[in-house]
Amino acid sequence: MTAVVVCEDVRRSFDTTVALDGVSLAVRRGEIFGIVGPNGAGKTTLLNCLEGLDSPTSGRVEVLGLDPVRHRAELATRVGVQLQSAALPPRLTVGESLELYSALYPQPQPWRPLLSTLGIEGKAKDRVDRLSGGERQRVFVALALLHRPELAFLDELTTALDPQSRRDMWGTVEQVRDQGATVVLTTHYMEEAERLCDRVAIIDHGRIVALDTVPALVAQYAPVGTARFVLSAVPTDDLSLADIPGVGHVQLEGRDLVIRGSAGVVPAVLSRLADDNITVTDVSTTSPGLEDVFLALTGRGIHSEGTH
Amino acid sequence: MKAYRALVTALWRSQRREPVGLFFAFAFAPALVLILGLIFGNEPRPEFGGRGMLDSGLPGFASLVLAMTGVLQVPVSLLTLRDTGALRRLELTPLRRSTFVAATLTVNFLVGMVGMVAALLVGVVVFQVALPSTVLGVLLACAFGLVVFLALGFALAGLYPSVGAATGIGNVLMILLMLTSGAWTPIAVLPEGVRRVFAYSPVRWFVELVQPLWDGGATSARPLLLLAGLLVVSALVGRLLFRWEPTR
Repeated sequence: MTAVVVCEDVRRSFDTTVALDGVSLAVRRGEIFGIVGPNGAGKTTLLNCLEGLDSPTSGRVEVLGLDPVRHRAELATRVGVQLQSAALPPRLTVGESLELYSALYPQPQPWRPLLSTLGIEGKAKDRVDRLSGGERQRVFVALALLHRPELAFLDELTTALDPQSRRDMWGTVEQVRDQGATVVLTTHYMEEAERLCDRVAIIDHGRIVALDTVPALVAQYAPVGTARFVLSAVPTDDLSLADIPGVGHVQLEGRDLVIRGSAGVVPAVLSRLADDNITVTDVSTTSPGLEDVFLALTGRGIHSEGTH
Repeated sequence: MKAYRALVTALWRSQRREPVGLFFAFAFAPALVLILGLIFGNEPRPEFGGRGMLDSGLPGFASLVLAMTGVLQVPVSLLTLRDTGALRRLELTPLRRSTFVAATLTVNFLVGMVGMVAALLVGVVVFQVALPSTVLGVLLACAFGLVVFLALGFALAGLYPSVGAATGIGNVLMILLMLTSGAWTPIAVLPEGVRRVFAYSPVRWFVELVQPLWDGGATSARPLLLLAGLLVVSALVGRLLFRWEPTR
């Protein structure tokens, strides 16, 4: 398992703020690696350091075995970048922009099929500055993938996309990974990280607070899920459920039974209820996700305001 | 070479779709020749040394194109690309800085040459100004002057902190250069002190280089050396201060 991106104790401070506070991580070849955290956590600063647009105040960064700043010229042909705030020379059409960028790379892929993959093939003759936010976003994703990079950095790639386009974009990113490339992306959409990323680094206040696959993170930090049972009748006796292994909090209100506990408790609860001759008319479970992991690690929701 | 051609094409398209900028680049100087020519005529007057306004000072109008290219067009377009993040995006491709600089300067050079030649042609065709004694010499001097001012524009782009500053300071510089170009004012009738100040204006150096070539008079090395000096200093400053990144 070779590491394509390595960070060792990377720090980046600006005048009064510390944006990155000792970040260490290694991205493996061929994976989709997510950097997840709230706005202002340091995601973009970290990407800028990996892309060679910024240098860490201290620490070591290595991309494809090279220094991103000193070897930017060599990395430019091997790395694709989608910036959160990017621009093109004003008043060009989508086609003209891709034509321009195709001429800058030694071996670009044909750009028309790429636009089709991204669902904007009909926009080739439209001016980029007249596109919707989501369409423009996809143009910049196209520019990042144009030269078939072996490593792609995608910064908040589905911001401004509607839910359907977002799912299509996930499919595109998976395709890129399946063709052998490594993808490093930032997102503050938990669903995106859960659905798309092979491994996730959770970043908060410039520090990596956890790094693993999503299931492993959930198992370690937020093993508790919620199961709701609707009983056919209000039970007459006390339910003795608390002694079942894995069951945490039990709450009964009329016919509604709510149990918090590890994911595997539902069958055991059902069989205990059956033993007591209680019929269950409905069961629903909410499994924990990254949102709960973030909550467990930081004590606040990822979208809560005032993180600084 | 492929990158250079594609960039020239893209930058030209980008520029040509901005009608106001395009009008100023191509038509400002010729329009000024036409308007002032129609108002004041080209009859011989004592303050122009017994010659017509345009007969004695057509190169002064061409110098306005230099001024506009150098202090406004090049810095404003470069800073727009830089501050919107378009340069930063280009920086992440294998594009070399020298290729980018060459392409930008090519586009502005071609636009500037067309503007200058158009201004001179309006004088010759509409107001019967006599053709220069050496057409090739005048064209070469125009091209050289343009290169000097393109370099100046590049240096200013590095010095200006933002597009706003480029537009604001650029307009002030533009007025100063216009006043000292000789296109508006018969230099000969100005007081000695004012003329001495005007002699520091780079557009005067250009006019002093071209006017003798046009009239067939004696040329001096002084304006050529001054312009060459400005070229070297500007190129060095421009190279030193060039940045892809937007101002933080």
